[in-house]
Amino acid sequence: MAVTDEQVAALHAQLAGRAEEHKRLLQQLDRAKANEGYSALVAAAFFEAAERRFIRAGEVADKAEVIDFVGSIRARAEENVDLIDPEIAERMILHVIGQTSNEEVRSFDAEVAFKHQIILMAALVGEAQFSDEELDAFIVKVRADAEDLFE
Amino acid sequence: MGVERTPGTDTRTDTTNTHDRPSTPPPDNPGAPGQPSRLESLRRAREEQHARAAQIAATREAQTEQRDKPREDTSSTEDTDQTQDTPAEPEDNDETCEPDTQSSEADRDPEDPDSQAETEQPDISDESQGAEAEPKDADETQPETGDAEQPDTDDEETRTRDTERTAPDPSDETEPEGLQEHDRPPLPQNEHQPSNTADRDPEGAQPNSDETEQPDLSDEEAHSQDTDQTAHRPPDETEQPQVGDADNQDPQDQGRPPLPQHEEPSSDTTAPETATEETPDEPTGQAQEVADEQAPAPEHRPHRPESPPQPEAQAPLPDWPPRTNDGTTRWSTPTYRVDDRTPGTQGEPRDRNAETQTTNDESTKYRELPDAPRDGTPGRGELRNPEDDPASRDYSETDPEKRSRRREGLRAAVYKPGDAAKSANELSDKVKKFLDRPPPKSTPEVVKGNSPDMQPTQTSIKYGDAGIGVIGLAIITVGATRKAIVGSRWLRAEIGRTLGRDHGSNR
Repeated sequence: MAVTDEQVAALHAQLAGRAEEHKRLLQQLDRAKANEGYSALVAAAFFEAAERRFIRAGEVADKAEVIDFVGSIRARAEENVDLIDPEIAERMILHVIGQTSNEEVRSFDAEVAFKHQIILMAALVGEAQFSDEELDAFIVKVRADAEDLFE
Repeated sequence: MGVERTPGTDTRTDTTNTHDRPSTPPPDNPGAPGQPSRLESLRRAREEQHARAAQIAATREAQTEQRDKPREDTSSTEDTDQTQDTPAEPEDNDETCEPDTQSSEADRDPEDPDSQAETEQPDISDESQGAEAEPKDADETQPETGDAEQPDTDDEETRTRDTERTAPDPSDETEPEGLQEHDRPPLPQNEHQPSNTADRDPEGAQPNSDETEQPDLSDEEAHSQDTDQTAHRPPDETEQPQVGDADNQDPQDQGRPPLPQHEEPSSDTTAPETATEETPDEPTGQAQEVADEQAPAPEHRPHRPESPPQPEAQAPLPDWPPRTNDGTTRWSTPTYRVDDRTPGTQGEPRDRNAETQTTNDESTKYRELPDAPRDGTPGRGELRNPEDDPASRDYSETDPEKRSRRREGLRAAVYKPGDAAKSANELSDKVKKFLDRPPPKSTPEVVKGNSPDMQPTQTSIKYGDAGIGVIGLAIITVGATRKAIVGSRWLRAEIGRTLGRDHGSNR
């Protein structure tokens, strides 16, 4: 199984706002496995959160809404605004809602794209304001999706 | 169908009556409001015929006597029974009865030509008259009655003769059986003639009449068969075996289901068969008719229902008198077998027709069924299987196609950095900002003072403005002084004027 409980716990600590615990769990992870499982967990979490945010009742949000969302993130970034490339961020979100091809998304640098996924994931989950139960359900769903990638 | 036929049979009786009588009975118009049923019309015609027969009885008796004499010559070869039977036949010939003529011809052919001439002449006249089998039959019965009356013997004698005939039959049937069988036919005849005629199309109806009356092509075959049979047999025997055949057939008929026989005669091939079958029955029916019907003379005809007690030998035949009342005897010979089937068949063919109609209706019904699509296209009101109702669909479940597409998209979104844990660790502190609830996008409110009073703006006085004011004020004062001076002067002047006038007036 590519996705481990430690990876899931580390992700859960990050999304719950427990930065210290998250750092500690990350250091305990197997690097090789983390490159597979944790990256899959992050991608699945970003994907699920972006679907919930931009696909509501079967209706997909337009590109303007995506751009507005990315702009709001950049506004909050302040001094770390250079961490977010708006074009990459927007395309990654548009890819989730089916308005960008897979090939275009694959063309991104893995390190940059992975960091963008982490930032976008945190922003989407922070905007959703999950409760503990909702966050647990969200993590379960994300883990299932991530494990589904390895089956 | 039978209703259509009935007029033909009735017309036959009418034609025969026309032969014997100047006046013809009213034409039978089945379906007309005046005639509710065919049986009633038949009864009318028969009653009229009986009444007429009563009037003509004397003349017929005379004719029969004249005819019996030559027949006795012809039939002298064998029994007296034949003489009695033969006279009935020539009478029939006079009255255009083919079956009788056939049998008589067959009987007579080997015999004297005179008798043939006598018999044939009336046949020709009958043929010229056209297909009139029924009138013949009706007339047959009447002349037969005349024959029965001529010997002045009781009906019992004739019946004993018939029994004597039947005795040598291979069937070894007793008198009551033969009589019963003879009796049977007449009953069905009344009811069945219409069915026969109905079964036989107008074409078939005439051939039947032709068979009985005119030796047509198809008839000739049947006649040839009959004549062959009769030729091989002596006239008396011919009748006897016919009776026996009829007897033999009757038990078979009893055993048979009446329906299939009756259904088949509709075909043309069956027509000659019926003719052949009917012809053997004719003599038997005639013999019984002669015995039974003639016994109740035209005077006794209204009492016919009471007459059956006379033929005590016919005691096993309870149905005989009422059947005679129905007038079946007149129609007996051609329709004899058909009548046997009629009682059961009359209702059945109708039922069959009705059944066929229903089946046709059903078949048409199914045919007319539209080939509407059963799958139910949405928006056209077709009922759907509730399971397939989209309202019950679970939208949370994604289609397998969607799922696979999502899976592929997610798979494409998975990035594998060199060290995912390290990259995540680097962003751990920075991401905390984004996890917080984002601030509202609205602009911050400006807190204003609670005092609503408007205070004038205090501006500093400038020197230029004060000089301009002083200058202006000086100008204004100069001008005012001047005017004041001018005004004072004017006042003085005015006052001086006024004062000077006063002084001057005073002066």
